[in-house]
Amino acid sequence: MSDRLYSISFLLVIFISFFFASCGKIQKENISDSDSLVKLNPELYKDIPSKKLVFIPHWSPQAQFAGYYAAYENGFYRKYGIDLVILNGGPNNKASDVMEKNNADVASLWLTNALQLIEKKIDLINIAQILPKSALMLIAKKSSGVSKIEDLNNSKVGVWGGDYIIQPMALFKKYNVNVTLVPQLGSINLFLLNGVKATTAMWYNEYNTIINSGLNPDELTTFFYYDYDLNFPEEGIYCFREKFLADSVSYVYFVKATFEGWQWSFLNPEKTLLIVKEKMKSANLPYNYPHQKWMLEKFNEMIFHHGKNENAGLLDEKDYYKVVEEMKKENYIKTAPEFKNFFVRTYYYNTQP
Amino acid sequence: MKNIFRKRSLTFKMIFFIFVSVYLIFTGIFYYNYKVSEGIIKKDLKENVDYLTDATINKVEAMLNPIAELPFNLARILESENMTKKQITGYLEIFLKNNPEVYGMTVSLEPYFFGQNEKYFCAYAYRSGNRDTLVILGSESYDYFYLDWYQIPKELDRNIWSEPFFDEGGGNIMMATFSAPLYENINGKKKFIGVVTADVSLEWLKDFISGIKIFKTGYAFIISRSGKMISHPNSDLILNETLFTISIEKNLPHLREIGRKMINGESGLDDVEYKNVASGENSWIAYAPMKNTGWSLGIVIPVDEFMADINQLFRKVIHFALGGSVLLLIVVVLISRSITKPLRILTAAVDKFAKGNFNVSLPEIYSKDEIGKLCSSFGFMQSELNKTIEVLVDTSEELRISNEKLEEYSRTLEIKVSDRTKELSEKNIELEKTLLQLKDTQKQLIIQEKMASLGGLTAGIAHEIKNPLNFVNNFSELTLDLAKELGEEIEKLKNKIEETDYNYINDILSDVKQNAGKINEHGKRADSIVKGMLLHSRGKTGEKIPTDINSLLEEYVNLAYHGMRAMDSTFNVKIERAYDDTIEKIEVVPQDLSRVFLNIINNGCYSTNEKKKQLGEEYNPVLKISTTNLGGKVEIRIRDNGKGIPAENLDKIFNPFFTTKPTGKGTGLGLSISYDIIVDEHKGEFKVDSKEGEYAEFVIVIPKK
Repeated sequence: MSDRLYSISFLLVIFISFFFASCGKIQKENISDSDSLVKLNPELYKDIPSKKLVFIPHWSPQAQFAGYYAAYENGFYRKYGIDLVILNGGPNNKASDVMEKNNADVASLWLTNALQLIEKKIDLINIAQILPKSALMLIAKKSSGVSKIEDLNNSKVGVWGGDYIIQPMALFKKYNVNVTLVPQLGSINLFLLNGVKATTAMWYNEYNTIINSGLNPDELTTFFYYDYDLNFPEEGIYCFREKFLADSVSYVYFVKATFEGWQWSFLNPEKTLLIVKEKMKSANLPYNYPHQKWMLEKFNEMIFHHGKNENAGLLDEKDYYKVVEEMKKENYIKTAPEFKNFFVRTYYYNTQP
Repeated sequence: MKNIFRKRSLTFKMIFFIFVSVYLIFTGIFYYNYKVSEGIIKKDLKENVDYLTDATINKVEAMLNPIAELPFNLARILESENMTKKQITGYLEIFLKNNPEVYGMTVSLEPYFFGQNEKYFCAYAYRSGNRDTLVILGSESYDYFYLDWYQIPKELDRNIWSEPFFDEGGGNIMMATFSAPLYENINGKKKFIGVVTADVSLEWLKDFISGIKIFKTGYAFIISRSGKMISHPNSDLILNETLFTISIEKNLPHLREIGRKMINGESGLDDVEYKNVASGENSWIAYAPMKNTGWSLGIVIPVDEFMADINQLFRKVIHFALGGSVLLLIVVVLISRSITKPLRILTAAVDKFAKGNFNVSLPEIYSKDEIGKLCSSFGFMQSELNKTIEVLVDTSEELRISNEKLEEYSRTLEIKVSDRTKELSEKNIELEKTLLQLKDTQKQLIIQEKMASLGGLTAGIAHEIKNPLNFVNNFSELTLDLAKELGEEIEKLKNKIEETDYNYINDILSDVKQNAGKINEHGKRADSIVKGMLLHSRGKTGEKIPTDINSLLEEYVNLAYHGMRAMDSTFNVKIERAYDDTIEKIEVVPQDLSRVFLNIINNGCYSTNEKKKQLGEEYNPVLKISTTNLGGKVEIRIRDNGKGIPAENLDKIFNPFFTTKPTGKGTGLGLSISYDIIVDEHKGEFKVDSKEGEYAEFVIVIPKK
């Protein structure tokens, strides 16, 4: 694609983003008007033809994707002329695989997933960064004598496979700590039974599962990667460059509707959790209210900083290159696109919920 | 507090204190009784619960332990032989067939156990409907190496029951997996090569645990090592909730503490009451570990129900106590009222008594108790007081009458005294007046007598002297005439006689003339004195005409001044005039009054002139003349700052012939005549004031008519 075409479409995207960012208005939970939650002027989008999009979240249904589910259930996508299909991600239906097979148009992926796909010549672009911070962490029990990274020397540490291992590897290298990595699939039981000294967790998920398994926060030592200069921005919205250039408006609407869904979900947590519960039940997943509530709250903190983040949706260039550097170091990728060719900002936070 | 009670009635105090005391005693007994009963019940309960938990755990473990033995035994069998795929599947099928309580079994081996081409080997024999089925699992999407049932026994190097799970493939039933590690013996060293597992349905456990009922709402539950609900009457909680999420959801922080004790393998009966999640009733929770599985059994005991009998008993006791309290209250009120009623009546009577109603009738109290005694004592006191009061009233009446009399007497006495005093003081004033008048009269009389006698004397003398004096005067004049004639005659004879004779005769003649002149002169003076004396004594009054006193005074001030100046050119005096213009013309005898003025002013001028001669230039003679209108009278003051009048002379200056002037300068009659003119003729006053060497002031007061 020529640089010129790219620039034109980029400018178009910016224009549309600004245009619609000022239109939406989200209502709070105590208002029981459920179907007309977005007061959008129909004149503005009546000519836009309905566009079918398939979205895959990178994990199974839970509050981590509340924004998408809430936007869907509230008809935000429909209102923007998008006929959206949400697939269920998860260990048996990985989003990166789905994208690689071109079985979805848009996905929520980690930056590391996306870079690896690009390495595989899947021409993806990031059109909005959902989690600017890394929620990945290591947790150890204080009772096992761990208070700093060095205390993990010569011990077993539970890690997750795939991209999740890049950060721990980098961390242990950085601190010159010799550990035996025990690959896991997200279960905390081995950690609870002291089969590993430390385990990998997500701040919004496994950390709370551990708390809800009877360990108290003050009994735990936590290591957040962003505190160790290893902030890997996690979920972002990715789509194919080609498809984006062909119909950027639909993708911008998708992002727009998604952020509106997130805003709505933070204003209406109880309703949102009911939506999440339904999604989980239909996927035959155990739903746990306190846990999903915790997860939703953490996402509010991370995406909007409780509704006060003008940088919502923005990917930090410095973080991007940091991830690229670490991945190259670990031979996950050999090349990576330039930031400006990788990230297209489509969302501008200016709608006060 | 003290004050509050001090103000309260006796009835109130009695009711309050009796009631409070009884209440406290009741409460104490009740509380003690309740606690003891509760303790007994709780002890029984603990024993029963211990028995129940032991029995339940034993039964569950009796079900699970034989299953746990299967993988363990199969692992030992496989270890003792050279494992082939066929062997493994064969054993699996046999084991599954012979153990109907088992749902499925696996033998899962480490990667590439059967060579580099075969990463996965997971033989799984399970029941599918009525048939037993065997599959070989393991793929990239089923990476069993990292599943808990494989990884945990591997990493922990021991047999373990997994966390229960819902088996999606097997009709969504809850299962648990027992895993036994499989080893290979290489040179006497154990090497982990895989895991043998047995899956067991826990549906029976659910039913069994659900069947445990403790009273109406009590129930049992089982949680896993991570607190996950494995068995609970509410199936929604199973595998969805942990005790810790329930603790958050139901806002029961204490439940988290219980859960921590349970997953730590502790047993106990939690004393602290908490709301039962299912029933909302207050409940206790008993818990005990299930050692082989690592799970924990909890039994929720509905305390309210368990304590229902005792609570009912105590409710009844409370009702009785309340009823008794009401009865007690009524009795206390009645007793206190029966005690205080006569007291109140007595108090009312005493109040009336105190207000002066001494004949108030006292309540009739026939009881012989303290109140009766008090009443009769008071009655006695009343009668005694009444007697005393009667005596007092009599005495008081007498006293009153005496008092009235005394008051009357005292009142009249005062009037009398005051009348007398008034009379006396009036008399006294009259007497004083009379005395003054007498003194005045006496003084007048003295002066008049003195003047009259002097006047009479002088008149007599004057009359006697007048005649010879006429001779002296007439003949001296005649002698002068004769001497004149003689002179003329001698002139004629001048040429006839010798000059010496002529001169001698002329000398004698001039001496004669001179002598005769002197005789005449002094004779005339004597005559004028006599005339004055006669005038004085005669008391003759001139005719009074309306006269402007100020003009008159001014005329004579000028006359006197110029007169003095004519006699002595060195004389000077400063005259300060202060005439009161309001003085109208008054009835006086002007020629007489002018004599008075002239007299006084002359004296003043003379006095200042004398002083001037003594003191020289330093002294400035001043003569002050003033008139004042006093209404019915006119006051004239003439003051000089001359030599003044010695104090011893003050009472003499009005005497006839008294003078301090050198002989020939004054007759000593001026002031005497002036006094007559003012006092007698004009009925005025004539006073003098002086300080020797400083001033002399004459004050004349004349009535206007």
